[in-house]
Amino acid sequence: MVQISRRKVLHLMGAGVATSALSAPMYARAQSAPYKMGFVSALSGPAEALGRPMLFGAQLAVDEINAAGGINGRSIELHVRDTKAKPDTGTVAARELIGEGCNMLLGCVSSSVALAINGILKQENATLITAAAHSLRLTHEDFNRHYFRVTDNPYMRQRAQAKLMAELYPDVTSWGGLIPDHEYGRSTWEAYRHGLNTFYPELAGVQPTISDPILTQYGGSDYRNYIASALRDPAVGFFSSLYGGDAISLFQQAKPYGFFQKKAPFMDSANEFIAARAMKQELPEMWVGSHWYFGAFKGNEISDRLYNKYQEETGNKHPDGFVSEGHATVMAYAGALAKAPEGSTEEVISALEGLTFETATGSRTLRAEDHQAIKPVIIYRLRGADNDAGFEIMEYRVIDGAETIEDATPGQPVNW
Amino acid sequence: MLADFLLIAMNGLVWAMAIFLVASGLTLVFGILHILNFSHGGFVMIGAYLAYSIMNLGSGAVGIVAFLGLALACAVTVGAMGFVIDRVVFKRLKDVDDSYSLIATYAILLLSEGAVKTIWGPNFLSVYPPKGLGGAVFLGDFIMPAYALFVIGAGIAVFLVLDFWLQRTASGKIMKSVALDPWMASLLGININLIFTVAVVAGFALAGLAGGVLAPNQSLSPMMGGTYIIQAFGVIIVGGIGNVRGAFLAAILLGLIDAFGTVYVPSLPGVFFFVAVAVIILFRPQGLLSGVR
Repeated sequence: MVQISRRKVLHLMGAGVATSALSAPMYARAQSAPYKMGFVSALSGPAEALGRPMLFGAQLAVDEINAAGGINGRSIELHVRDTKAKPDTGTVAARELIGEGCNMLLGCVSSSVALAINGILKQENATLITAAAHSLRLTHEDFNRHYFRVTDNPYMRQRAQAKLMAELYPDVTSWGGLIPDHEYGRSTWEAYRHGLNTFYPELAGVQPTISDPILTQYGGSDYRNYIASALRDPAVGFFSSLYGGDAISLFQQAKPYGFFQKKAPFMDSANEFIAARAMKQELPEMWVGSHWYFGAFKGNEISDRLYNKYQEETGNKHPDGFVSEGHATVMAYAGALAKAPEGSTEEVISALEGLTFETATGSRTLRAEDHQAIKPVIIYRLRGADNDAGFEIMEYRVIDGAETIEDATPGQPVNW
Repeated sequence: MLADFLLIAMNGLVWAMAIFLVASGLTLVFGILHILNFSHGGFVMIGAYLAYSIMNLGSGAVGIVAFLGLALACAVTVGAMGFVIDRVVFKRLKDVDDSYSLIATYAILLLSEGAVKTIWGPNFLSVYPPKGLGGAVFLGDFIMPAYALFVIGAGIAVFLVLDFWLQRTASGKIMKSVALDPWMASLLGININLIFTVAVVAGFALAGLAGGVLAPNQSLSPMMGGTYIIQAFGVIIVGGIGNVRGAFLAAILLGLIDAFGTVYVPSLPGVFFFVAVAVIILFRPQGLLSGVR
């Protein structure tokens, strides 16, 4: 028989009282403690110019939500880590953030980093919403429930671009491509080619002639040999998915050959205002894909606020779409947390699936099946100009993402 | 067909002379000091950014003469930086193991990248070609950008000046003698420390000149330092480390191989340069022209 002395009972009672006294405020504190989110993106290295605006957007969304009283009375705390656009560094950064209690991750410029972090999400019981990583594998072959994408993907964007070309240039029926020799380059070309083959017969009544793409080196200094190959190509219209510095070098070197007069229209996959800001008056005329163009969403409260704030703080009058996408990742989590106040990973995942939330490009919905956002694709026509910015937006188009999105086949390749 | 062939060959030459402009300073410093200067690309980048800033003091594009003056100003400024770096860093590396030199010069590269990011920001920039060199030269079906011809001319000019200096002048011959046997040179009364400093300043000045001349060739970013340096190392290794003539020859050879390979085997972009370097080293590990000449 277990004998309990009076002294022991008093000790136990004391311990019980102490525990109750301590746990009550702890419970209360848990209910009022900030939600922790982890921003993980390139803040140095070659993709810094993309990661910084993304952070600006995310931080602005956090500040706005906190200023309005938070979500469920709780504020948001944004922890920030640099991936340097390297998968291994990104994975370490993600683990550190999760270790700090950030089970809601967001950001990512490059697909390779997103794919690497995607691999640890289930094991670490965290979620990731990416703002730019475009690899189709993330919502197809490598799909897992912990990953979401608030922006468009190559299937949506490049097919929208091809559709626009078929509408505007039905007579340009031969197309070529200059693409970087890696996953992003190949998937953008595959989607663009598919779009040309779909929309030219449908809208222009002709089957387009499509050349093999010209593969280019990543991070090179001289693109003249690729330009020579493109000039030898009989294709008239050209598509390019070279990015950032590589694209600018290519444009600079191609211009004196008369490339942009011989190969027109020229469709640029995703350089936003990056090349325009660098080249200014020297920018050749081209169509460019973007995540967000403030001029296309005037009157949208979020867009106007984002633009004004960005311009005020940076002096840059042409913010890139990464600003809106960073903002949108936080807005998606905020929408989910409103439905899942405890913020546990499983609850957040369930709340994000099928969630519709407001962004700088209007309402977006995260498709429940594969976690891909349905959002508009923005394409504008740019050229160098003799004004303060050094370039002008000649026209723009906003194409409904629902028109060009692929079938949801999570765990399976894209059904071309 | 002939126009295509000419275009590819000329593209190969543009690449070759751009890389030679970068490699010339690298090979000079290694030839004299036996230091593999990893930071060299960083100073090419600084030269390019200086050119950007000087050009933006005015209205942007400048004439050819002004552009040449601007490139020389970049050379002088970066050469002065080389003088400081020689006094602060390189002087201390002469009697230590090579691994220390690699770490030290790599650290300088990181510092130069950080400095560029702090001063000019992380965004991509671009520089206009000089006025009069923005267009192209037409010969029947053959088209060649005027600026590309200018790069070829600049590369040849730098080679001729360097070659003349090293082969035909007393100071060049003294420099070669110090490179071959510094102990004997010092016994003969040559101030070898002065020669070392001259080599470093000249090497850095060449980096600055390359940056200035090549600024309109590609985009500018704080990562630009690494863009040329791998090819420049390939060129000086194939040419025979420390040999300016070898570097010139290797640049042309590798440029042509890369150009024709890239155009005629498009499924393997950027591979031919590395394959050619590997094959040449396999058969001539000492390089095409070994020794300091």
